[in-house]
Amino acid sequence: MARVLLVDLHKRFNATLAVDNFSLDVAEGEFVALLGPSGCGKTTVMRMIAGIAEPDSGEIAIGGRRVDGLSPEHRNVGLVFQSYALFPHMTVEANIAFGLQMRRVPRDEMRRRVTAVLDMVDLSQLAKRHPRQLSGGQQQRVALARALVTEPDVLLLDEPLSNLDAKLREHLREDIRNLQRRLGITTIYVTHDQSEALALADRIVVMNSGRIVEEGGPRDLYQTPRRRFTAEFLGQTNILAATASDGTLHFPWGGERSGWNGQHGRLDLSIRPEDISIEAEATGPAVVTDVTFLGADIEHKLDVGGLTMRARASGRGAKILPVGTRITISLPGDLHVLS
Amino acid sequence: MNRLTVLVLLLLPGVGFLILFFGLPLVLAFLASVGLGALGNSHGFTLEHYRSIFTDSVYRDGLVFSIYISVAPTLVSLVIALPLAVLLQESFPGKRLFQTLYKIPLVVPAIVAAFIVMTLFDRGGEISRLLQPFHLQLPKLVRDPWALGVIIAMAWKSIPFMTLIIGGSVAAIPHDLKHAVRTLGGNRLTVFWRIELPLALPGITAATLLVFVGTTGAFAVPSLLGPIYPKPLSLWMYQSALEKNDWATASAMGIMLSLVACLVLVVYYRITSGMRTGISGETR
Repeated sequence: MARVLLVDLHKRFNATLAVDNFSLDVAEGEFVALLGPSGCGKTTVMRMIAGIAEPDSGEIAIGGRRVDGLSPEHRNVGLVFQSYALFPHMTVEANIAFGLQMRRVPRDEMRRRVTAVLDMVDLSQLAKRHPRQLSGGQQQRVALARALVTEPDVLLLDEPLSNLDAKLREHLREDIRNLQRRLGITTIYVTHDQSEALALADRIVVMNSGRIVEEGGPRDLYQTPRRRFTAEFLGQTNILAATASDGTLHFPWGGERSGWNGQHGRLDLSIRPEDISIEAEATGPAVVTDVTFLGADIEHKLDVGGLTMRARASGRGAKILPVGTRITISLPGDLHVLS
Repeated sequence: MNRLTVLVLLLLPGVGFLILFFGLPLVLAFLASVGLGALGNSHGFTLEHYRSIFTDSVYRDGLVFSIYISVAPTLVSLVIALPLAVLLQESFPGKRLFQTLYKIPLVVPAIVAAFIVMTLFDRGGEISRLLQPFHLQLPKLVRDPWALGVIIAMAWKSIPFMTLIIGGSVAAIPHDLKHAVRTLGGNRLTVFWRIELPLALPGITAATLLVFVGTTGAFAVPSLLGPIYPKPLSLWMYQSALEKNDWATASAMGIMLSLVACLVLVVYYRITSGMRTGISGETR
């Protein structure tokens, strides 16, 4: 367990700046998710922490010790690869024992620790199997066990669930979270899946084009994002270009709200679809253009004077309004303004 | 057409080719070697020609020498090609140029390779002349008793071939496996011993085998660079068949060389069958 400090990391691959001016302070035992679209540099950051890639400039410290420039084997990190990277010619047991062998852990202790970690990820029955005889979820757990058995200072996870089907993903997501809480290990989790980041992390770092866009707790970041990129990347949102003058907020379709005491002038509002409610009304300003039944939710796609918006309702009480219905839109009481 | 006819017709081009151009000559050579051949003078069934290979010291030494000039260049090639194949996975300045240059021996015929070694390493060759002002002398490398010139020429030919095949297997190993070793505390050498070597083993054994079999019957290189005595079986075969018209003895020697090659094949399959370590077994 250790604090991870990244200061001003830069990494360039030929013409592209993969990581630009990246600084991050991960507290002891904290679970941080690096979230961003593919190619945003999140994996590169993680590889630089592990020592598989070297930053062009900047500092990396793990537990107060400078590690940039050290080769990976001297950093004491545990890394779970997207591909799992299990050694195909070794049994599950041998895969897990590998890191302990490298550390010259005595035989008895090695056996004890391998057994304990196999137990922890619930794979004791499969110790003698080879990776190819395991399912994707089992392989993933072996990879996790292999990374944890050496008691690393920091656990790095690179899209560990992206090769699994949806049901298993949710299940393993919980397992990872519980394991992390129990061990209290500092964890950095790289993902492009916003729901994983929201469900797992203490803090989410949203990245785009090699830079940090915004960071914060999952709930703050989801409900009150400062940047448009965050609002759009974390879940779905409606961005409304409104204008405020003399205490009145004017919406693009002509509606208005008085008593506005926020910032004035042109501003962007981010309103989540689930915060919008709609009601059929023949003289309403909007019309339903599409309806999608999503199981838990019903999503209405709306045309509001040329602007496309989405509204979501959930639960059994949610009504389905047919395409072509004219409607009125009710926005939530507190509107969130992007900066 | 019934299924059997279809099957036979489908198999005919491949199997027919093998029977006609491989099986038949082999059978003829075997028949000739036991005195039942059509070529040369035959006097009915006899194992005399095989006996002579093992009892006649000239042929016995020839068989041993044949094996020696297969094994030695193969080992020398392996020792150089294996690290080379692994190093070629890394990036270094001038890699593209090197990758083009190292393959040149592949397209150079063996006899040309033999002449290159001769002009360079023979007494009075290029290197001797360059060393002369420094009063240095090369050891005898051409027609020397240890067949060093033969080994140099054959290794020179085989190294690129081996590097290419082994390089292919090493390149097929996912990079993440090597990274995993490093993050788990292993160094570059650990990656080689624990990952690259075992996972590239099918390629390594295949390359070794092909080079070995290729050098077993080599003719041009040992005849130009090899010692006066012993001579490998390939040279004795030529002498028996075309100078003495003794096709039976030549055939027996040919069968012996084939047996050596088969023996190596069996060993190869024994090694690789218990070893399904190929990357293919791994899920992504």
